[in-house]
Amino acid sequence: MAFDLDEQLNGSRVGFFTDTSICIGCKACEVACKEWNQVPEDGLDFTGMSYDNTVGLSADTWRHVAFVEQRTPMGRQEPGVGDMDFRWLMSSDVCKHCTQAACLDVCPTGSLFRTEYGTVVVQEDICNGCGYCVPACPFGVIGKRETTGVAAKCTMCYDRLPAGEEPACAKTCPTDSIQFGDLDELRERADRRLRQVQEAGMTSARLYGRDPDDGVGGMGAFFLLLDEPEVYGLPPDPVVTTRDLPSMWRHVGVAAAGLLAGIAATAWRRR
Amino acid sequence: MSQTDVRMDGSAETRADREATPGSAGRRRERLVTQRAQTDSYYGRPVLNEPTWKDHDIAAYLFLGGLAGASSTLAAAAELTGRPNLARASKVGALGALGGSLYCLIHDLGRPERFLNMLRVFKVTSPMSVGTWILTAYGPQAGAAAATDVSGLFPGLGRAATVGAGLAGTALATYTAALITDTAVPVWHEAYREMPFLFAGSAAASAGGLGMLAAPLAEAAPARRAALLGTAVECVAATRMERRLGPVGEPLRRSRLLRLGEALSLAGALAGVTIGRRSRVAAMAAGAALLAGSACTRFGIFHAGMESADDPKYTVQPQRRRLAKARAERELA
Amino acid sequence: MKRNVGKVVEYLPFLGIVAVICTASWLAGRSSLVSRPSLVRSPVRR
Repeated sequence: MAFDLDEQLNGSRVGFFTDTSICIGCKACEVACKEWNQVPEDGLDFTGMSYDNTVGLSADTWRHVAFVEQRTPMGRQEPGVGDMDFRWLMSSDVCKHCTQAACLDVCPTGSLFRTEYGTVVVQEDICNGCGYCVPACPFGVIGKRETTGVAAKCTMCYDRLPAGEEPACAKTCPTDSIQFGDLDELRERADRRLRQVQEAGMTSARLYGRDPDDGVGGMGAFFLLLDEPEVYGLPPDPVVTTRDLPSMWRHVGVAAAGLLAGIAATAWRRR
Repeated sequence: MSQTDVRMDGSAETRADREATPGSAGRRRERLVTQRAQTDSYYGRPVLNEPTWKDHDIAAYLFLGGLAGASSTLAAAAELTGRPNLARASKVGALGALGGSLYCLIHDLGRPERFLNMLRVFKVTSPMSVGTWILTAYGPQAGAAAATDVSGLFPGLGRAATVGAGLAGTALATYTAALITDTAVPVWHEAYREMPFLFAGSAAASAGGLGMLAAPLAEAAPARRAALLGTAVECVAATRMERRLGPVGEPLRRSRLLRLGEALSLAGALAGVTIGRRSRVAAMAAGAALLAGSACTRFGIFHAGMESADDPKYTVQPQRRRLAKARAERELA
Repeated sequence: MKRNVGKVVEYLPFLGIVAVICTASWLAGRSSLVSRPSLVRSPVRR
């Protein structure tokens, strides 16, 4: 790869490791995030989706706890209710702060930028609300806020980092399911944890977004999941949309030349 | 700083809970269960966030931008081959479509008063940024071309502006394909090979339609031929796109707007080259049909994309197939 | 009913723009066929 973000930042890239195997679904992260970042209310709905009433990430939900109910046992656990197996998967989703971030690539105003911590942040005084970043994000993270008309998403608490404070969600997480730190260290910690969880019988456990060779060049916020990513509402193999852009521009160039040649040809013959 | 240090007992050491064994509560027995719940979405919710673009702005812009660009190209061709009425009609039409494009683009912004922020940067990674600069290059030339032609002032400048707008117009008519395909919306993104040709064809068809509608019969021959050629390219590109996309192309194949657009374009183009050569009224009707057909096609593409973004299966299933294919290839190697 | 009216209203600017384009273009295509002021002359015909 021509540009290696991890190398550029010289080890100062920070990130989240969200270990969903110890998430208890308390939503303290959602609340702390709203409080610290003054994220407005985003509808008080009863969805009927287990305990999830925030539905998904959006301009006004920067941490989202997913609740999945499955008739599958948790590891070697004996549920104690006859033959009925049941498990709850809970996972706190967040902006992935991709190494190759599509939202950042397509932003036409330069409002979205890469910070010195390797995170991706919207400058809300620059954004003109064109909305291009919204369909560009392969995870459905970023959104356009109705009240202000500009894009909004997780900043990894850009305003807390210079003071040496960890982001509000990680700070408040009572089980350390959300861990914040240097990305390199988190990756090592995640590898250790994955072995531990798999040895405990959770053979379906896997890391999501840890691999720097995936479609988005690795995620600044990655996860330990206990099932397929799509079960949690995550895309199984996300690819940054701009990967195909050189080919797109080539096709556009050929089409433009064809349009010119075609119209010239139609006018060539005199009446 | 990477751990929670607010605790009941006041100690700030790394706690053991972080290493908790999943499923450790309750009695245990030695078993490994392999059955798995098969789900491919989270409560059927889309993976992607719904694009905030509105069809009456962005789909309308796709149409108007194409009409403006291809009309300028047609105007330049008509002027250079001695067809002043077709040239003038196309230049005025292009200027009107350009005004409409700008209205739609600015109207769709969340903060319209900040539209000039687009001129802060130039990014090839952002088709919208490239498009902004294409419009910046094209707009004044299209305006000058129309103004000098209608007023009769500065003919030399007018000729240069006409040719310049004609060249920039081809970029304006086709870059919009990159604009929508450079997204994660499955139908738009996967169709990136055919989309520029579909848009170029649709733009030529609409410009030809406008020329047939506005120019006298004696000068409208290029417009009629451009409409026919454009419609043919549009239909071939659309058919190829629908076939190549496979399961992802379902919203395209299901789209009534696309079928209506094809029917109107074909009817208009064929009527144009037959009865449209002799009857002024027939030519105008054919031109109107071509314009309506091109608009329907753009709205159809737009809505098919929105539909694919709204259903998780169009996002998840192709990615699963891609992973399965990669895994199979790894195992073979 | 009211919502439908609201939806139609959203498309009116677009339809209006298209109507203006067609009318202006049509007038421009006819302008040299009818008598014009001396200032307004096609550079090509000259």
